Amino acid sequence: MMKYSPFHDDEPSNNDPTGVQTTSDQAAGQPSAPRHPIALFFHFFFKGIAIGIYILDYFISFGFVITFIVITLSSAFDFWTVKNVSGRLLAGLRWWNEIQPDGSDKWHYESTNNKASVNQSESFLFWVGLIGCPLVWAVFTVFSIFSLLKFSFGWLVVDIICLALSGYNVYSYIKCAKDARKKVKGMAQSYLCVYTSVLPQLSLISIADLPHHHINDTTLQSSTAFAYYRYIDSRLRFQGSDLVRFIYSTAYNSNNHLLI
Amino acid sequence: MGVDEETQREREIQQERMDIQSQEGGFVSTLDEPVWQTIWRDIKTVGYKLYHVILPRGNAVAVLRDWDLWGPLLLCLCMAIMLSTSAQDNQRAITFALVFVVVWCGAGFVTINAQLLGGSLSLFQSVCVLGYCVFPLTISSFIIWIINRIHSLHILIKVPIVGVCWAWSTWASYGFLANSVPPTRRLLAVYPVLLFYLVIAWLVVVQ
Repeated sequence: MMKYSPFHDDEPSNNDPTGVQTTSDQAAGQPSAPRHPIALFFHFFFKGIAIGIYILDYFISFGFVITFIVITLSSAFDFWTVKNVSGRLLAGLRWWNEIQPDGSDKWHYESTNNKASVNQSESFLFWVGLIGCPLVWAVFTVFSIFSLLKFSFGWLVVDIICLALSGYNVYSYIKCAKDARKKVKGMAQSYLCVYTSVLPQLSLISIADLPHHHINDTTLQSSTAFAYYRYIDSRLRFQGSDLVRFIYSTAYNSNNHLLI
Repeated sequence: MGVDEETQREREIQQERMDIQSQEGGFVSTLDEPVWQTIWRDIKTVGYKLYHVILPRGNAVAVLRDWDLWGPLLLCLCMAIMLSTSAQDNQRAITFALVFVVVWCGAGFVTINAQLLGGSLSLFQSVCVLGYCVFPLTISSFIIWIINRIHSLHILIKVPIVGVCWAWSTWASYGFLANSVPPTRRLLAVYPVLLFYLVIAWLVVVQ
């Protein structure tokens, strides 16, 4: 439905300037992730309206048509909010559909590379709200079918609509979470790959290969070591491994010394 | 040389991302900015698509390929409200729910049928197209609803109005769906669409 820009691996500070964003010193202490109280409020607000009006109608009858409209619109807005806003801000997850040039569609399930931007308690609340809602509607559906609360065809339709909308979000976000777990596994592997494949070759570059006079940029650009550093840096930037980039930049920038 | 190509490619990817980001207005920190801007943008998209359903022009197919389900929801709601307010008191609730079920489940079944016949449109695109092409029938329902307020219409007057709108809906959706199905199966794919809009047209006539 709506397309948002892909997660920007390089510039996590775009996400929320009100919070503290640290990229290069993940090794040094725990950075505080930004909080999104408004997103948290709206995450529960539309769900609360839909469920609340449904329950309230049992006691005070507003009229079926009005109640149906309010609950359906609430559920639709909740679907939109959870898909486009809460998932992105509270849990660092996103899913979307992209129409390819040839007309077919491709589903994207993504998670943020920057773990520091995700607040753990907000993420927990996000998942509670996300999974709790279809459970509640499933219970209502069962009640409607067995006419324990109130049976009529109309209320069953309401239940099924809300269950379908909230359930689809759960399904998609679980897929995003799987992608996140895969990414964590993949990053660990890529650290290993980089270290094992590049380190031995870098260690072969000795001081003797570099010009002995003061190293300035033009000299550096002609050396193979610098070319290699640029290559490693661009590969790591693409994979978002800030920690390893930091190590390499420290290792290289110290004057005339390669620490490796 | 491989190194340069790779860094060049990655620079291109990053450039693409920044282009998209600048088009989309970038990430924002508060909730207010995306909500109002995005809502307004979506309303404009819905209006644009409705316009293309009424008067299909050159890139109409491409317009509806970029699917969204807000338009069908809106049209479904409007039609359901109009039909249920015209219904008798004890049938109001069931009419409302019935319109929803007919539109969404009907669109779903027609889509499944088109997919089984080898259609190339995805599920959501087909549902989007079928939902938007309900617009002419919504217009006819609105006309009848308005005139009913003043003076109740004879069925012989309602039938031509709704008939024209039914033909219009079917022709509009044929324009979008026909290209996605192989030519030998085209009639098989279009016939359920005809029936789908016929059921909705009947609901409107009986209003």
